[in-house]
Amino acid sequence: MNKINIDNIMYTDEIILLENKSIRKIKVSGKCQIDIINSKVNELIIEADDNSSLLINYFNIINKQYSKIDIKVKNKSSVIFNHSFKVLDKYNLDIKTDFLGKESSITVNLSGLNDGAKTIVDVKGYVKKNKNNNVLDENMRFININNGTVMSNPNMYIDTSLVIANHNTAIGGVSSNELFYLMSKGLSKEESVKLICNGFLINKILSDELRIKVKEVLN
Amino acid sequence: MLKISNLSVQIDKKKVLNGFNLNISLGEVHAIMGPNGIGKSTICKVIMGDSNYIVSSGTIIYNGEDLLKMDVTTRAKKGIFLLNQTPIEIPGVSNAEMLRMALSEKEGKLVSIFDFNKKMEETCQKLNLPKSFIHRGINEGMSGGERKKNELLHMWMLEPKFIILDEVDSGLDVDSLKIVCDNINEYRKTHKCSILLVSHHANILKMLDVSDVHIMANGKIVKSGDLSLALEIENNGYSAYSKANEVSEVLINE
Ligand SMILES: Nc1ncnc2c1ncn2[C@@H]1O[C@H](COP(=O)(O)OP(=O)(O)OP(=O)(O)O)[C@@H](O)[C@H]1O
Ligand SMILES: [Mg+2]
Repeated sequence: MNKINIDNIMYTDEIILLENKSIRKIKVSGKCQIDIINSKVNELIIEADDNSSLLINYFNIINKQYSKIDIKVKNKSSVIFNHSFKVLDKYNLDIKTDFLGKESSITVNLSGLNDGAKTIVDVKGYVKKNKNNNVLDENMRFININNGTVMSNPNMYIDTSLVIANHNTAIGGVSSNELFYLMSKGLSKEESVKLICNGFLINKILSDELRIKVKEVLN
Repeated sequence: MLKISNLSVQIDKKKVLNGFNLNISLGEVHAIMGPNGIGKSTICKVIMGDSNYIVSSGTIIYNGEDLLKMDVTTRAKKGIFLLNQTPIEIPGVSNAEMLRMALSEKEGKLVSIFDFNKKMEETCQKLNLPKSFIHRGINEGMSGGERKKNELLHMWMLEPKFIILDEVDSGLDVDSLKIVCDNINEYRKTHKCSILLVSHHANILKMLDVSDVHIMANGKIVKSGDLSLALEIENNGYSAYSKANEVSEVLINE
């Protein structure tokens, strides 16, 4: 059975929505999806037990925030952490991932829209000695509008050869091809930029309910 | 309806079009043929207003107005529609979302969701597309053939008057090609429009009842004719025009 402990409250649901909450610790044993929106995340620890499968979709509009997120995974488990955010002023995000066992996977997908703001992202991925046959995947995409700046510092600390680890970062503006495409359907430039940015923010969110909520917040 | 005169266009310091002329009247269907890389897609995108291409001279007059002075949005609102050779994906933006926005923009008022859905469903049916396409991300994860049909779904919803089809037949299986051609012919019957078609195959020209066929070389149209010209190309290739091609390369390089 599912045993999910979020800040000492027990859940057994397969899908959990956390809205307007302050979250510090998520511990999962079993299979579960957690959708997070408009919540306070300063120091968050995420732990997945053996044979667990955890999908987190997390969206926030950020003014000024510092967040430290620690993801730990035991044996034969998978954690997908999809974090989309729109930054209006300043966001410092530190993410640390660590494999406590073997044959697990951690995927971190960040999609950040930086609207005239400053975003600094530090990602540290650890794969320690004897923690074999794990898969680590980090995908970071940022769109900068209105002269925002992004600093992304990806680091991987790998002490085993039996690992698959990938990292990629893409930082850019709104794609001129996408802009041309939408304008060629009769949308104004402003509307097109808005659609592209909002689409970018919801694209990696693997939850229909959360997508709807995110769209409401963005409009 | 559309008159292109003496148009020269460059991209990345390369002159792709050089003294290009074309005249299309309302209701006509014209086809452009020519070897790969000769500038067929270029002329399509220049008509739509892609700012990657630099127009160094010439004019495009559309219904008496100077098209080159209009931005892309205005051109679309005036009824120009481009079905790109390789339609791109817009991640996270659905067909319905984009089309409703475009229609509201065009009509200056919110479109009724009931009428909108009804028309979307009918059009999907015509194109043999599942209804789920209505809310799918634009071209997201769609196959090459599905993308072409998805663009035709946009065409029916936006009801353009000047339609540019850049290799709409590429990537379509035999049955889909028939569906697509029937669909375009039905659109022509019910809407006053003109079509500029780019294709490598005489087959689709026949199916769409093309009136004028143009062959491109040296950055311009070098020969115009009727369907028999397309059949001649299909049998003999472009070799008859390639010699002229070499000469012009030299001229452009100078
Ligand atoms: N963005 C670009 N940057 C650089 N060169 C380009 C760009 N777009 C087009 N070109 C060049 O312009 C020329 C014309 O390209 P175009 O796409 O118009 O050819 P085409 O006739 O449509 O060919 P095909 O039959 O293969 O579709 C080519 O040589 C191409 O490489
Ligand atoms: Mg082409």
